[in-house]
Amino acid sequence: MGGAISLKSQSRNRAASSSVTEPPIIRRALIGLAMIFLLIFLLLPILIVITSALGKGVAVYFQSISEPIALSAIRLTLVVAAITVPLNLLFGLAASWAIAKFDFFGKKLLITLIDLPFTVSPVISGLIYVLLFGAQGVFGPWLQAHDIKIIFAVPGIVLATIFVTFPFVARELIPLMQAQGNEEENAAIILGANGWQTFFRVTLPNIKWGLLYGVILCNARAMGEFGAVSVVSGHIRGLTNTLPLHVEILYNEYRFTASFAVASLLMLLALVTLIVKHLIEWKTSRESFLTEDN
Amino acid sequence: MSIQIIEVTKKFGDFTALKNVSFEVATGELVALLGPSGSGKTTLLRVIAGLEPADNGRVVVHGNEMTGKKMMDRRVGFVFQHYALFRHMTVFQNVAFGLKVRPKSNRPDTSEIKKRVLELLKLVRLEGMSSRYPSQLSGGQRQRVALARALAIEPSMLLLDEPFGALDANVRKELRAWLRRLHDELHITSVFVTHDVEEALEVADRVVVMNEGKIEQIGKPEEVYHDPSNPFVYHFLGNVNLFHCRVEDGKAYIGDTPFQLPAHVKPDAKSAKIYIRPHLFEIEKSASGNQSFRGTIKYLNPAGPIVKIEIISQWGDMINVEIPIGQYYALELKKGDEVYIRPKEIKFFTDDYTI
Amino acid sequence: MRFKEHSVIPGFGLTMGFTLVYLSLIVLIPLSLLFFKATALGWGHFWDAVTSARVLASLKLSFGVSLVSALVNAVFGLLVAWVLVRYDFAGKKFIDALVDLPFALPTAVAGIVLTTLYAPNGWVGKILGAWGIKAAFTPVGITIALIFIGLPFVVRTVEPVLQDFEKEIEEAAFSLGANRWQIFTQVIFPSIFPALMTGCAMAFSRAVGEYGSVVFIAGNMPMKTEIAPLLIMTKLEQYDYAGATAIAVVMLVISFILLLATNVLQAGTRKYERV
Repeated sequence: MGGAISLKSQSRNRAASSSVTEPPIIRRALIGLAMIFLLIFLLLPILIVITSALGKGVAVYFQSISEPIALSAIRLTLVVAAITVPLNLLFGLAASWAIAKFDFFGKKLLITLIDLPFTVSPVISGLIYVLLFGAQGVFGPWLQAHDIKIIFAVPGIVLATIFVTFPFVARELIPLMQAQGNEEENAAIILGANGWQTFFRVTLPNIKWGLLYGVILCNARAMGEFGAVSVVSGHIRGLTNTLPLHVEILYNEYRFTASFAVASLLMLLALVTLIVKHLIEWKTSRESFLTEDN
Repeated sequence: MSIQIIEVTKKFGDFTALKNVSFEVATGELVALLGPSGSGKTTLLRVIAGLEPADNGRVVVHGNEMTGKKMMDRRVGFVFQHYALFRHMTVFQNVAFGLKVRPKSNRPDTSEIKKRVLELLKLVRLEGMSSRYPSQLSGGQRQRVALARALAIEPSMLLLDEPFGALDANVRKELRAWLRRLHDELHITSVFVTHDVEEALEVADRVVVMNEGKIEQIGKPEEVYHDPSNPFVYHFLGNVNLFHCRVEDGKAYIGDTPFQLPAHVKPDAKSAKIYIRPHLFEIEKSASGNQSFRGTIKYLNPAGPIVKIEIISQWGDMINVEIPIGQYYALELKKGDEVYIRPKEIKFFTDDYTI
Repeated sequence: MRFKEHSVIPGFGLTMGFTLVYLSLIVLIPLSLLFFKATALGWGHFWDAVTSARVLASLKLSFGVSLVSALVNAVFGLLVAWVLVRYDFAGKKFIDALVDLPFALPTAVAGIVLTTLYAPNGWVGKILGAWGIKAAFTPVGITIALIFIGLPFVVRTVEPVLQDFEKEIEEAAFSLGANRWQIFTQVIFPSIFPALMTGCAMAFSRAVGEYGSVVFIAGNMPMKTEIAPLLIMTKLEQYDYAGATAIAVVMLVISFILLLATNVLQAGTRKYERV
């Protein structure tokens, strides 16, 4: 079972011919119904963020996102992402190579394990690290003795974020690489290439768009993670507050405009993620269209 | 239930799939629409079925105007190339589907449906398979289920879109013969689409040869094969050797060999094309008469009842010849031999006038 | 039986090793610790911790609203997927892109947005209030938030299956005299049902564990609108590690059982696939 929303594979338009579809009235009614549902659930949120963030004017908006604690929250979020994403990228590449290129006992189990974070509540994801590294945790006394802080400090946040976001790159790449098969890599090896050459020259170009999308998604989720980080961070302002936590603090202090202003940055990140996804889908469908015998 | 197609035209965007096509199918006839991809044959079939509306023209079935009528009202039995069976239903449920979805007023009761379905399964020799699922059947069996399903609604006509295209060669041959026998038994007006020449010639009562949206020729299988009306039909229906010849004094010359032009060819034509099928050559060790020409055997393939030989003629053309294996043994032919070939039957087409 | 089939491609040892180490460090060890800790409690304490009224209420609430939201998403998600795959209309590309928004949007942002919208003085809250429906700070509000985040799961799981559905099968049903409704219920729906169930299960699973989108709109009143993840959080803040662990284990076990049940059901409906 997975949770990642993956790139659309290229299948041609399968709309039935005009004689075999619903009468226009029903079609329009269904479209209308779907649009109303989507309008309420999707469009309104975007509007709310925009109107609330700018509710007190542009000046207040910029002030909200540039005050010191906001800036430190932005910094922390960026740092966490900068550590988490590359590590998960490495994991994604390793795991998908192992799974897609080889047949071994226990493969299904491995794939299920990779999907695990999707089934675990973010709060539980944070909980497990508290159990390990918290003051009363397994390593708690040892860490205290060596004056190493993991929980309520940046390392803890990084760990929790890694847990929640590591499947994204892998789940994008595994089906992609499985669909592409091993023939090209086999050919390269037979021609004398070693593993690294094969990977960089043969595999990587084929998976580049899926990889990019996985990274973008991983990044969006890493920057936006709330529940797990909330558990391990301790909410220490200026030190262990990421952007989402900062949004929560502002909101709970009734500083609504500021809260939405900071939230708008995250919203922007989400929208950019969506745009990039569609650009990638467009690009890959164009490429396959040009190489197919159309 | 006769079918009349009257001046049907169909465009898809800029592409014209059917150009003013007209022909008739008599009641109980089995007609093949034969042609290459893009010839419009499948489009025509779908227009008859009501799956696509025609831009212009009419379809009349048994005197009733079908143009504009919904598919449900046309009582058409349609069989698809990839069977289109309902995967999650058993064989029985698939065949019964057309009867079960009828409006209450028209619907036969459960026992009646059961009786009909079992009858049909017996007809297509799949009795005992009623509770199997399509995924448990072979390709040939699936197509027979598709046929039974189409027949269940007692259609006025049976339309088949490359029905055997997805099957292995020997299954195809088997089902071809079986379809012919089925038709002889049931006598439902049927039209089927194929690009397989052998299939069309073997199964159909009449063949409609199509190309680029137009009908090139309609006729019985022997007619279109032995009496093609134009080069396209000749080419399409079998292997052919083409000779471009010059015309002088009422004779066409292949190399230096003169051939008498048939009476109905214009005497002032400058050049002509001569078509000779590979099996219509006689191979001899020495020249007989002035219509033989000399050639060298370049390639021989004796693996089969017919031996395929490639001969380079004395003026450098490559000619394909086929002779029965018995003759090959009798003549003791080898690669590199010099032989004489004499055409037994030729077809003339001049450039501006086809016969 | 061989562990790994022979292959000329190198790198198995390296990649598999890295993968396993990573997984163990990040996932396996921490998670097994959770279960360890729970068993260390002793069955008696565990049972007490889990069956206290407040905990039971939160579990009932979490699983209850998740189920409702997953079912709503099943219906509307199918509708949206249908419309996106089969029809062409103005703004379709835009809507299509938007469907992923709940998946890409940080949960905290979703949380404050939905609260603002559905609070008594919010744009939608006002309208609902006129009909006597209170959304924010009630289970209704929680359900709405969960519908929001679950939407992409159903749509994106059903879409590819609808897209690949052979049009010939529909045409066949048509030629046999079925009307549109019969074709939908008897031919198309059974085919996409497994995908629909999968999407529904994913939405449900996500909903059960959801925290960020819900804590703002829920109001978090114990026994009434306190979702299980929040209760875990609260117990942690009170250093009741045992209590938090107990609830976490129960949630994981129930989710796991449900997942298993869904997979079994799916395997059952899949037996006639792959024609």
